[in-house]
Amino acid sequence: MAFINKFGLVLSVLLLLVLGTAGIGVGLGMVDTNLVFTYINDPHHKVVITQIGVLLWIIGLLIIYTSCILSQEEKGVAFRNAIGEVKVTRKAVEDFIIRVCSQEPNIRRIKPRVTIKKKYIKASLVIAITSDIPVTQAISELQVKIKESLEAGIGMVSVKSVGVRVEEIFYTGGRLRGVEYAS
Amino acid sequence: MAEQSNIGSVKVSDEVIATIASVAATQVDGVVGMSEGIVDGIAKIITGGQATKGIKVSVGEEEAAIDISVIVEYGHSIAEIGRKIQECVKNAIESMTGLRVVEVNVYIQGVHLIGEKHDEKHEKGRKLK
Repeated sequence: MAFINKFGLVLSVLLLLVLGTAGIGVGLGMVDTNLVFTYINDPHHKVVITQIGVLLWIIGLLIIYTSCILSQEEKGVAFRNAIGEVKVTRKAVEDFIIRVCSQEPNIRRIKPRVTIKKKYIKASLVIAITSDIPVTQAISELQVKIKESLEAGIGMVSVKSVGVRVEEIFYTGGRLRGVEYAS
Repeated sequence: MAEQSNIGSVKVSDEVIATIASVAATQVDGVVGMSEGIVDGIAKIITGGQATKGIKVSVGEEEAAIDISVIVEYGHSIAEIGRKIQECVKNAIESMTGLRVVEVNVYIQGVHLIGEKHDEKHEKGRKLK
Protein backbone atom coordinates (compact mmCIF):
# COMPACT_ATOMS: atom_id res chain seq x y z
CA MET A 1 0.00 0.00 0.00
CA ALA A 2 2.91 2.27 0.75
CA PHE A 3 4.00 1.58 -2.82
CA ILE A 4 0.62 2.71 -4.17
CA ASN A 5 0.74 5.82 -2.01
CA LYS A 6 4.26 6.64 -3.25
CA PHE A 7 3.24 5.93 -6.82
CA GLY A 8 0.18 8.15 -6.42
CA LEU A 9 2.29 10.91 -4.87
CA VAL A 10 4.81 10.81 -7.73
CA LEU A 11 1.96 10.79 -10.27
CA SER A 12 0.25 13.73 -8.59
CA VAL A 13 3.50 15.73 -8.51
CA LEU A 14 4.17 14.95 -12.18
CA LEU A 15 0.62 16.00 -13.08
CA LEU A 16 1.00 19.26 -11.17
CA LEU A 17 4.35 19.93 -12.87
CA VAL A 18 2.84 19.26 -16.31
CA LEU A 19 -0.15 21.51 -15.58
CA GLY A 20 2.18 24.17 -14.13
CA THR A 21 4.45 24.01 -17.17
CA ALA A 22 1.44 24.26 -19.48
CA GLY A 23 0.17 27.29 -17.55
CA ILE A 24 3.58 28.99 -17.68
CA GLY A 25 3.90 28.13 -21.38
CA VAL A 26 0.46 29.57 -22.24
CA GLY A 27 1.05 32.62 -20.01
CA LEU A 28 4.40 33.45 -21.60
CA GLY A 29 3.06 32.81 -25.10
CA MET A 30 5.42 29.88 -25.60
CA VAL A 31 2.53 27.55 -26.39
CA ASP A 32 0.15 28.24 -29.24
CA THR A 33 -3.31 28.11 -27.58
CA ASN A 34 -5.00 27.53 -30.92
CA LEU A 35 -2.90 24.42 -31.33
CA VAL A 36 -3.91 23.23 -27.86
CA PHE A 37 -7.62 23.83 -28.54
CA THR A 38 -7.36 22.13 -31.93
CA TYR A 39 -5.77 19.13 -30.21
CA ILE A 40 -8.44 19.01 -27.49
CA ASN A 41 -11.33 19.46 -29.93
CA ASP A 42 -10.30 16.47 -32.01
CA PRO A 43 -12.91 13.75 -31.19
CA HIS A 44 -10.21 11.05 -31.05
CA HIS A 45 -8.09 13.09 -28.60
CA LYS A 46 -11.18 13.79 -26.46
CA VAL A 47 -11.58 10.07 -25.89
CA VAL A 48 -7.92 9.75 -24.90
CA ILE A 49 -8.15 12.75 -22.53
CA THR A 50 -11.32 11.27 -20.94
CA GLN A 51 -9.56 7.94 -20.44
CA ILE A 52 -6.59 9.66 -18.75
CA GLY A 53 -9.02 11.57 -16.53
CA VAL A 54 -10.84 8.36 -15.51
CA LEU A 55 -7.51 6.65 -14.81
CA LEU A 56 -6.40 9.53 -12.57
CA TRP A 57 -9.74 9.35 -10.72
CA ILE A 58 -9.32 5.62 -10.13
CA ILE A 59 -5.78 6.10 -8.83
CA GLY A 60 -6.97 8.93 -6.57
CA LEU A 61 -9.81 6.82 -5.15
CA LEU A 62 -7.43 3.89 -4.66
CA ILE A 63 -5.04 6.07 -2.67
CA ILE A 64 -7.90 7.37 -0.48
CA TYR A 65 -9.16 3.81 0.04
CA THR A 66 -5.76 2.39 0.97
CA SER A 67 -5.08 5.32 3.30
CA CYS A 68 -8.37 4.57 5.08
CA ILE A 69 -7.49 0.87 5.40
CA LEU A 70 -4.04 1.70 6.76
CA SER A 71 -5.38 4.18 9.30
CA GLN A 72 -7.89 1.56 10.51
CA GLU A 73 -5.18 -1.08 10.65
CA GLU A 74 -2.93 1.17 12.70
CA LYS A 75 -5.51 1.76 15.45
CA GLY A 76 -4.94 -0.24 18.58
CA VAL A 77 -4.39 -0.41 22.31
CA ALA A 78 -0.75 0.47 22.96
CA PHE A 79 1.75 0.95 25.74
CA ARG A 80 5.36 1.98 25.61
CA ASN A 81 8.30 0.80 27.72
CA ALA A 82 12.08 1.18 27.63
CA ILE A 83 12.50 -1.31 24.75
CA GLY A 84 9.72 -0.02 22.51
CA GLU A 85 5.98 -0.19 21.93
CA VAL A 86 3.53 -3.06 22.30
CA LYS A 87 0.36 -2.51 20.34
CA VAL A 88 -2.70 -4.75 20.25
CA THR A 89 -4.56 -4.00 17.03
CA ARG A 90 -8.33 -3.55 16.84
CA LYS A 91 -8.61 -6.81 14.95
CA ALA A 92 -6.76 -8.66 17.72
CA VAL A 93 -9.11 -7.20 20.34
CA GLU A 94 -12.08 -8.35 18.24
CA ASP A 95 -10.44 -11.77 17.87
CA PHE A 96 -10.05 -11.91 21.63
CA ILE A 97 -13.78 -11.24 22.15
CA ILE A 98 -14.62 -14.02 19.67
CA ARG A 99 -12.42 -16.43 21.66
CA VAL A 100 -14.09 -15.42 24.94
CA CYS A 101 -17.52 -16.04 23.40
CA SER A 102 -16.41 -19.34 21.89
CA GLN A 103 -16.20 -20.67 25.47
CA GLU A 104 -19.96 -20.08 25.82
CA PRO A 105 -21.90 -23.04 24.42
CA ASN A 106 -25.13 -21.04 23.99
CA ILE A 107 -23.69 -18.49 21.62
CA ARG A 108 -24.15 -19.61 18.05
CA ARG A 109 -22.74 -16.64 16.18
CA ILE A 110 -20.88 -13.44 17.08
CA LYS A 111 -19.87 -10.29 15.29
CA PRO A 112 -17.81 -7.95 17.51
CA ARG A 113 -17.01 -4.31 16.86
CA VAL A 114 -14.48 -2.43 18.98
CA THR A 115 -14.01 1.32 19.31
CA ILE A 116 -10.61 2.32 20.67
CA LYS A 117 -10.18 5.63 22.46
CA LYS A 118 -7.11 7.00 24.26
CA LYS A 119 -8.08 5.87 27.76
CA TYR A 120 -10.67 3.18 27.20
CA ILE A 121 -12.28 0.86 24.69
CA LYS A 122 -15.92 0.15 23.92
CA ALA A 123 -17.16 -3.15 22.56
CA SER A 124 -20.41 -3.84 20.80
CA LEU A 125 -21.47 -7.33 19.87
CA VAL A 126 -24.13 -8.73 17.60
CA ILE A 127 -24.85 -12.31 18.62
CA ALA A 128 -27.13 -15.25 17.95
CA ILE A 129 -27.98 -17.49 20.91
CA THR A 130 -29.91 -20.64 21.68
CA SER A 131 -33.23 -20.40 23.49
CA ASP A 132 -32.44 -22.84 26.31
CA ILE A 133 -31.01 -20.13 28.62
CA PRO A 134 -32.47 -17.16 30.52
CA VAL A 135 -31.42 -14.54 27.96
CA THR A 136 -31.18 -11.41 30.15
CA GLN A 137 -29.12 -13.10 32.84
CA ALA A 138 -26.88 -14.89 30.34
CA ILE A 139 -26.19 -11.66 28.46
CA SER A 140 -25.34 -9.66 31.57
CA GLU A 141 -22.98 -12.44 32.65
CA LEU A 142 -21.42 -12.40 29.19
CA GLN A 143 -20.93 -8.61 29.39
CA VAL A 144 -19.10 -8.93 32.72
CA LYS A 145 -17.02 -11.85 31.40
CA ILE A 146 -15.96 -9.93 28.29
CA LYS A 147 -15.06 -6.82 30.28
CA GLU A 148 -13.04 -8.78 32.85
CA SER A 149 -11.36 -10.99 30.24
CA LEU A 150 -10.34 -8.01 28.12
CA GLU A 151 -8.93 -6.12 31.07
CA ALA A 152 -7.07 -9.17 32.37
CA GLY A 153 -6.06 -10.68 29.03
CA ILE A 154 -4.86 -7.55 27.26
CA GLY A 155 -3.63 -6.09 30.51
CA MET A 156 -3.37 -2.42 29.59
CA VAL A 157 -6.89 -1.34 28.87
CA SER A 158 -10.04 -0.16 30.58
CA VAL A 159 -13.33 -1.34 29.08
CA LYS A 160 -15.95 1.38 29.30
CA SER A 161 -18.91 -0.54 27.93
CA VAL A 162 -19.95 -3.81 26.34
CA GLY A 163 -23.08 -3.47 24.25
CA VAL A 164 -24.81 -6.64 23.12
CA ARG A 165 -27.44 -6.96 20.45
CA VAL A 166 -29.10 -10.34 20.25
CA GLU A 167 -29.87 -10.62 16.58
CA GLU A 168 -31.28 -14.13 16.56
CA ILE A 169 -32.52 -16.72 19.01
CA PHE A 170 -32.44 -20.32 17.88
CA TYR A 171 -35.16 -22.52 19.35
CA THR A 172 -36.69 -25.80 18.33
CA GLY A 173 -38.95 -25.01 15.46
CA GLY A 174 -37.46 -21.74 14.18
CA ARG A 175 -35.78 -18.40 14.97
CA LEU A 176 -36.72 -15.11 16.65
CA ARG A 177 -35.01 -11.80 15.90
CA GLY A 178 -33.86 -8.60 17.60
CA VAL A 179 -33.17 -7.83 21.30
CA GLU A 180 -30.65 -5.22 22.50
CA TYR A 181 -28.64 -4.93 25.75
CA ALA A 182 -26.01 -2.47 26.96
CA SER A 183 -23.83 -2.35 30.07
CA MET B 1 25.47 -3.98 9.06
CA ALA B 2 29.16 -4.39 8.18
CA GLU B 3 32.12 -5.01 10.48
CA GLN B 4 35.71 -4.43 9.38
CA SER B 5 38.49 -6.70 10.67
CA ASN B 6 42.12 -7.26 9.65
CA ILE B 7 41.15 -10.23 7.49
CA GLY B 8 38.12 -8.70 5.79
CA SER B 9 34.63 -7.39 6.34
CA VAL B 10 31.66 -9.23 7.83
CA LYS B 11 28.23 -8.25 6.66
CA VAL B 12 24.95 -9.32 8.24
CA SER B 13 22.01 -8.71 5.93
CA ASP B 14 18.64 -7.35 7.02
CA GLU B 15 17.03 -10.70 6.13
CA VAL B 16 19.31 -12.51 8.59
CA ILE B 17 18.43 -10.06 11.37
CA ALA B 18 14.73 -10.50 10.49
CA THR B 19 15.10 -14.28 10.67
CA ILE B 20 16.81 -14.07 14.08
CA ALA B 21 13.99 -11.84 15.31
CA SER B 22 11.35 -14.17 13.88
CA VAL B 23 12.86 -17.27 15.51
CA ALA B 24 13.26 -15.48 18.86
CA ALA B 25 9.67 -14.24 18.78
CA THR B 26 8.12 -17.59 17.90
CA GLN B 27 9.98 -19.23 20.80
CA VAL B 28 8.07 -17.09 23.29
CA ASP B 29 5.33 -19.06 25.03
CA GLY B 30 1.93 -17.96 23.72
CA VAL B 31 3.06 -16.87 20.26
CA VAL B 32 1.21 -18.76 17.52
CA GLY B 33 3.15 -17.26 14.63
CA MET B 34 4.06 -14.20 12.67
CA SER B 35 1.42 -12.12 10.99
CA GLU B 36 1.57 -10.81 7.47
CA GLY B 37 -0.30 -7.53 7.11
CA ILE B 38 -1.49 -5.82 3.92
CA VAL B 39 1.73 -3.81 3.72
CA ASP B 40 3.83 -6.97 3.96
CA GLY B 41 1.74 -8.61 1.25
CA ILE B 42 2.39 -5.78 -1.20
CA ALA B 43 6.09 -5.69 -0.21
CA LYS B 44 6.29 -9.40 -0.93
CA ILE B 45 4.77 -8.92 -4.39
CA ILE B 46 7.17 -6.09 -5.19
CA THR B 47 10.29 -7.75 -3.79
CA GLY B 48 9.39 -11.17 -5.19
CA GLY B 49 8.76 -12.83 -1.85
CA GLN B 50 11.98 -11.74 -0.16
CA ALA B 51 10.33 -9.85 2.70
CA THR B 52 10.35 -11.79 5.98
CA LYS B 53 6.82 -12.34 7.18
CA GLY B 54 5.72 -9.87 9.83
CA ILE B 55 9.14 -8.32 10.45
CA LYS B 56 10.43 -4.90 9.52
CA VAL B 57 14.08 -4.20 10.20
CA SER B 58 15.90 -0.87 10.18
CA VAL B 59 19.64 -1.34 10.54
CA GLY B 60 22.35 1.27 10.91
CA GLU B 61 26.09 0.87 11.41
CA GLU B 62 25.81 -0.14 15.08
CA GLU B 63 22.12 -0.01 15.93
CA ALA B 64 18.93 -1.70 14.84
CA ALA B 65 15.19 -1.19 15.30
CA ILE B 66 12.68 -3.97 14.79
CA ASP B 67 8.93 -3.93 14.13
CA ILE B 68 7.36 -7.30 14.61
CA SER B 69 3.77 -8.44 13.97
CA VAL B 70 2.54 -11.58 15.70
CA ILE B 71 -0.53 -13.67 16.36
CA VAL B 72 -0.90 -14.86 19.95
CA GLU B 73 -2.66 -17.72 21.65
CA TYR B 74 -5.87 -17.13 23.59
CA GLY B 75 -5.49 -17.64 27.34
CA HIS B 76 -2.20 -15.80 27.88
CA SER B 77 -1.69 -12.23 29.03
CA ILE B 78 -1.16 -10.31 25.80
CA ALA B 79 0.78 -7.48 27.44
CA GLU B 80 3.10 -10.02 29.07
CA ILE B 81 3.68 -11.82 25.75
CA GLY B 82 4.49 -8.46 24.14
CA ARG B 83 7.05 -7.66 26.81
CA LYS B 84 8.65 -11.13 26.55
CA ILE B 85 8.90 -10.83 22.75
CA GLN B 86 10.64 -7.48 23.11
CA GLU B 87 13.19 -8.93 25.55
CA CYS B 88 13.82 -12.13 23.59
CA VAL B 89 14.21 -10.37 20.23
CA LYS B 90 16.51 -7.73 21.72
CA ASN B 91 18.70 -10.32 23.49
CA ALA B 92 18.87 -12.63 20.45
CA ILE B 93 19.89 -9.91 18.00
CA GLU B 94 22.38 -8.29 20.37
CA SER B 95 24.06 -11.58 21.27
CA MET B 96 24.18 -12.96 17.73
CA THR B 97 25.09 -9.89 15.70
CA GLY B 98 26.67 -7.46 18.16
CA LEU B 99 24.25 -4.75 17.06
CA ARG B 100 22.65 -2.58 19.73
CA VAL B 101 18.87 -2.91 19.50
CA VAL B 102 17.38 0.49 20.28
CA GLU B 103 13.72 -0.37 19.73
CA VAL B 104 11.52 -3.45 19.41
CA ASN B 105 7.93 -2.61 18.55
CA VAL B 106 5.47 -5.48 18.83
CA TYR B 107 2.14 -5.46 17.02
CA ILE B 108 -0.37 -8.08 18.15
CA GLN B 109 -2.41 -8.69 15.00
CA GLY B 110 -4.62 -11.57 16.08
CA VAL B 111 -5.67 -13.95 18.84
CA HIS B 112 -6.13 -17.66 18.11
CA LEU B 113 -7.13 -20.78 19.96
CA ILE B 114 -4.93 -23.89 19.95
CA GLY B 115 -6.00 -26.33 17.24
CA GLU B 116 -7.91 -23.66 15.40
CA LYS B 117 -7.39 -23.25 11.67
CA HIS B 118 -5.80 -20.00 10.50
CA ASP B 119 -8.76 -18.86 8.43
CA GLU B 120 -8.99 -15.07 8.37
CA LYS B 121 -11.89 -14.98 5.91
CA HIS B 122 -14.27 -16.36 8.51
CA GLU B 123 -13.14 -14.23 11.43
CA LYS B 124 -15.93 -11.64 11.15
CA GLY B 125 -19.48 -12.69 11.81
CA ARG B 126 -18.07 -15.97 12.92
CA LYS B 127 -20.20 -19.05 13.54
CA LEU B 128 -19.36 -20.75 16.80
CA LYS B 129 -19.62 -24.45 17.53
